[in-house]
Amino acid sequence: MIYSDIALNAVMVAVLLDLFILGSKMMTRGIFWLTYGLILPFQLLTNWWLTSNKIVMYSGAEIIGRRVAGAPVEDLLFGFSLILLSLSLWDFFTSKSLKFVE
Amino acid sequence: MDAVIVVVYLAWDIWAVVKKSWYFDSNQIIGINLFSRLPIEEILFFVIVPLMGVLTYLALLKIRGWDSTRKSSDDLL
Repeated sequence: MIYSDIALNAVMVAVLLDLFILGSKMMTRGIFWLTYGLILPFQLLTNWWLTSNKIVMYSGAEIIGRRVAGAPVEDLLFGFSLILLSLSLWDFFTSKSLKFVE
Repeated sequence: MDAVIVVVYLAWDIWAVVKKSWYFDSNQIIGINLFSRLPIEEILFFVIVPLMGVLTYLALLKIRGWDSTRKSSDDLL
């Protein structure tokens, strides 16, 4: 598998965990999208810095080639999965006991 | 939470570095590597980013006056 495949799989795993397995359902909540929207510009800024200064370089054979702010478009999938998984797990570990209290 | 993320994503990262999906400029990193391959910066990244993500989430909950266990009008479902 190349970076594109893994990034896509990471997103699918994160979405499945969030919606169906952990029960955090972050993707249905306004606060999640607000949080992601705040983080995304900083990811783009960091990606641009890391790639324009050639601190990190990517193998052309591993990516589809389209770039956003200097980094492969796959990086956005990776970033999304990382944020979603972090917040889902946080919700799972912190509010599980509260979930079923009405 | 952070421990799970660190383990999973570092495994992906190490694998990618081994097969050279991406590589680093050795002049622009600290030079301490995990398994003599993965820069320590990558490890710190996977510790800090999930933490900052959660702190952002908690800060926004606080600012908006929301309760993570209750529905809000901005929710999609």
